[in-house]
Amino acid sequence: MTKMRWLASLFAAAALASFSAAGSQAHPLRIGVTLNPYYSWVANVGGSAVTVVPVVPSGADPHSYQPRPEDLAALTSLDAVVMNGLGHDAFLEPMLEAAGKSDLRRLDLNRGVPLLPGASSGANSHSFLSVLAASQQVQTLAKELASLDPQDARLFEENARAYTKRLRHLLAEALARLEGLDLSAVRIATVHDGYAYLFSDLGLTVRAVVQPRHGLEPSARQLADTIERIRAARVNVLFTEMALDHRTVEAIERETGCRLFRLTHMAGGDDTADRFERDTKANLEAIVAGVTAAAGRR
Amino acid sequence: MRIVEEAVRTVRPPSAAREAAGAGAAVAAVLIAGALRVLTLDRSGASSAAPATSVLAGADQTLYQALLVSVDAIFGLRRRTGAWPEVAALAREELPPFAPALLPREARGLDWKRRADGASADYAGLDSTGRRTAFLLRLSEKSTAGLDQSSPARAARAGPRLAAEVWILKGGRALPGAFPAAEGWYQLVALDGETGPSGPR
Repeated sequence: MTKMRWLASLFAAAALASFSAAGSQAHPLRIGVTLNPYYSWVANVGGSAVTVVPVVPSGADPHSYQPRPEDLAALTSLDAVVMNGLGHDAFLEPMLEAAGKSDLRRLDLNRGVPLLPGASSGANSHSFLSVLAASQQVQTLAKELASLDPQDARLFEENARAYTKRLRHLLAEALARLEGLDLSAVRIATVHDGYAYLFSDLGLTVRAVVQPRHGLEPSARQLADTIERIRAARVNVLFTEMALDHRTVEAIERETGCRLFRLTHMAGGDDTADRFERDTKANLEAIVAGVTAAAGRR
Repeated sequence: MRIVEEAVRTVRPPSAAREAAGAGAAVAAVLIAGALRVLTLDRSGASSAAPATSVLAGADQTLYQALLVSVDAIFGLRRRTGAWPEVAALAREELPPFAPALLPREARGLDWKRRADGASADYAGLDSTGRRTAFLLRLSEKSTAGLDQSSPARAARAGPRLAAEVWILKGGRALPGAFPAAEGWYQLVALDGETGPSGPR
């Protein structure tokens, strides 16, 4: 918080220079987003009626993000901010406080979503990784945007309808490819508990979660421990993250006989309208490939 | 690194508001919750510091999530056509759980029926075997009398106030009447188009 107060004083000068029209409700709406998926959702639902403003600079990882004065300044121009609200964007509230925007309207898309438990405690904050949960959140987003801009309510509704239909097509395609597989001997593990929502969409059960601290490579001792536990859990397919070093992947495959497939957490990287669809498609394809391989290796 | 095999599951008691549905419903709730691998149940709502997690798991969780996705689409079709859409129409819209292709195998097989009556409609996934969890989605258009028509939320919602409820019953074979709790059904959530959800996530 000390750092945040220091940033707040720097921010005051930056805000004066950058945003003379701060707080304007002028059309189009300016909607802040804390996570990459939310950028895609708002861009697709809002269309030309909304300007999407990433709260975290493009390319930054929200897990390790440290706000800069210009980031606080950007908050002053927003009409509302889309938030996760389950701990994934815990940086937001201190930022709003430091920017003097504690009263900014929050669009909590997880409100009403049937949340899964996290691996350790509380709710699993990664509902954005699921096609079905994302569809519900996109519909909530459309209603929230409509309440901010009633004139464009029909546009938001139609955009949400078309967008969620495209997302569901991705899910239907993956389900069709799993059709006919004997999944009785498939034992799945993931390196991160966030993927449970997506596996639930596909009717797949995650037997074990091997959870290193996000973004960190395991030490030799941790790796040995992981290998031992994968053996004990008799897992035959492990879904890991894009960022995991290939040497770690090879060591696990070699020592356990368990095939590894990579999923994306959708944290960090570029903000684009089509990114959520691309990443979701890639995740679904990786899961289908991994499960198909495990089912065929009985 | 560490491995978490299974999340700890606890059962918390229903709120006083749900208990008002009747003592029988409360007993049924506990029995059903146990049968459905209850995780946690927190009735304190969205403002809770620790958000509640779903009471369901496996195919039941998928069906519950799918029903919540369908709510806005059903209301949208109702608004456009003036009628509560038939189950077949929802399947053509590629909406889970009414379109089987959008569900994993384990979640398929319920017999989806619609019962419409003026301003309300029930969509129920019934279980002829008596072994699975049956679902009821109860939708209604309610009067807006008494609401502040000048509020931003109301201004954005031309037309009636929309409400949705999701209920479950282990082995439910028939559509319930006006009071599902009296027939052993357990309410998972009540969604109000004006004020958002109440009940567990």
